[in-house]
Amino acid sequence: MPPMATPTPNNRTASALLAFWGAVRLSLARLGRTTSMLAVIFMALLPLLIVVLIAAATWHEPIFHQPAAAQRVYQTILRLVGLHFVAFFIAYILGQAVVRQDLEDETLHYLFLQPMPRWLLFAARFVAFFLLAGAAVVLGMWLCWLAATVPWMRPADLFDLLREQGRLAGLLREAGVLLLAVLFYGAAMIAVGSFFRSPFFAGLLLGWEAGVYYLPRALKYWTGSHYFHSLLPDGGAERRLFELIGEPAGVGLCLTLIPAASMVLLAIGAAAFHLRECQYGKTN
Amino acid sequence: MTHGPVTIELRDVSRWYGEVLGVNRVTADLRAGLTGLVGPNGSGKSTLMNLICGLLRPGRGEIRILGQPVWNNPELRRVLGYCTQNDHFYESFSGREFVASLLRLHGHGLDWARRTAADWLERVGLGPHMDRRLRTYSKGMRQRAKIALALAHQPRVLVLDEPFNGLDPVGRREMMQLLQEFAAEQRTIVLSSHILHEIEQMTDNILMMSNGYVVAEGEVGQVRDLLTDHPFQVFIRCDDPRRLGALLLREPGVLSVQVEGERSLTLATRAPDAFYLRLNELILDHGIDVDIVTLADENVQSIYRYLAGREHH
Repeated sequence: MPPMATPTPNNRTASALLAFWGAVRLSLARLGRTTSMLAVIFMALLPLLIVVLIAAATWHEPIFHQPAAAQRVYQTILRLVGLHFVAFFIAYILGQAVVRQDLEDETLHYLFLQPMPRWLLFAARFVAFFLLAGAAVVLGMWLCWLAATVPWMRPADLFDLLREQGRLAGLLREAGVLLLAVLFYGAAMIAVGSFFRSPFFAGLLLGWEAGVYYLPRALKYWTGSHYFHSLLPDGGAERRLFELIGEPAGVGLCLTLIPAASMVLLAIGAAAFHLRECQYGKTN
Repeated sequence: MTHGPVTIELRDVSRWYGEVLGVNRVTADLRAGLTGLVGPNGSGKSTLMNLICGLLRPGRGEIRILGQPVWNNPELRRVLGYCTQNDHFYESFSGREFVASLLRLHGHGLDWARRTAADWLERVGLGPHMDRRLRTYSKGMRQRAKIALALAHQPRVLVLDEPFNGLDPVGRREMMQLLQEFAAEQRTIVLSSHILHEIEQMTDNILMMSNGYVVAEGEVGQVRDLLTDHPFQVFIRCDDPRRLGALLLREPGVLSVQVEGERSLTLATRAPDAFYLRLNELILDHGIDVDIVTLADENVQSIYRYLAGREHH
């Protein structure tokens, strides 16, 4: 039989870290064990699927056996599908759930009854979101690159491509940009999800971000896409094809602006979470 | 009986949901021991409990537990346990995983959390089922899991909203015993139920709510006396109110009769149960056609319904 005494942690810092890690683990389990995770996995595998379909369609005249052509196809998929579609929708599915899941499931009170400040609970939910969404997006794109490259190259050539030709650094840089996209879009979805259930605002943001190609130059600076594309390694034809960038923003500006905007959006979400009451549409 | 210093202070607490009243101007001091919060469904019990536990913010007034404000006070959660009426869970979790994962947020390691969760699930009778997913639990098992979660960090203040819902008679007895052991250790337990006799088995001390108000406070016997002394207003619509009024005035339990127009009358009685039985006899004996018989006072009506309802449980 358990002792009848209220246990209190001895070391407050260690205890706070343990509690935070516990909240991250709980959030990972909560976000990861939903049917919408199937949609996330499908989204993450979409670039790979596209490569497989292209390979199948061009079987008699393969395009991936030429590294330059393979990289061009990959760059197009990265920019069009990876950034604008996969990162966005994974951020949407998981980002909305950061706050919405507990409201829809009517389980928010379990969190609010724990001895953790709400901003820390929110931070734990966000960390879990970022780990899941970031891993799904980056691994999905890496799988896509591997499928577009590995089957068509000898190991020595692959090693040469990665190390000598600097493709490894390029892949890491692309992963960094995708993570920034997950951060920004996720923050936006969390902020929206804190107030609205409707996907209308997510659709609005998608239209705004994807419509960057058609925007006048001055308005492009008000999209996340502009800065993500500015940060991507020069894709040559792809960038010119969409006349996207005009004047690419500097790396410093991109690395300041995107996290700053994300932090503002997260602060809005955190403030809403802090002030939220546990009401699930019933009066008593 | 409750005793000792005040643990939960409610000062002029009100809460509205838009134009719908949740609780209104509740002032009460709750002490260590077991206090029953009783009242019919919709009387504001759950709202008051959510306010006490800081899940809702009062529109007006102040709530303190152990001298500290409850709203957005995470440290207070170390000494506060709450078993809500809400029946939603992390359905994909096992019982042990559910309790342990939330216990970890108290800042203890995984081993401690898993061990403590297992101990308490064992104690509420879920030992053999603790590794099954919650979605496979019956209503009673889910109730036990919630109680285990509320007790597992051994809070000094425990709030339980209808904790015996869905439990079979054996389960009720086991949980009552467990809570009584818990209360015996100078802890404060607030327990709600819409069934008075359930509360009576555990404590004499009750807070009775109706329509968002605390309408009575004290020992069960005192509250019963209070209700017995309170005259009930009964409204009757019939074809001959003067004749019926004259007949009713001869009845010992009827205090007054007032005829209103050609078809209705209002009377006051302290014994509505006996009155209703006698009214049926009078109607049949004298051939009076009665359309409506109802309690005129909504506030009293809900209390009466509640007290009448207990006869059926």
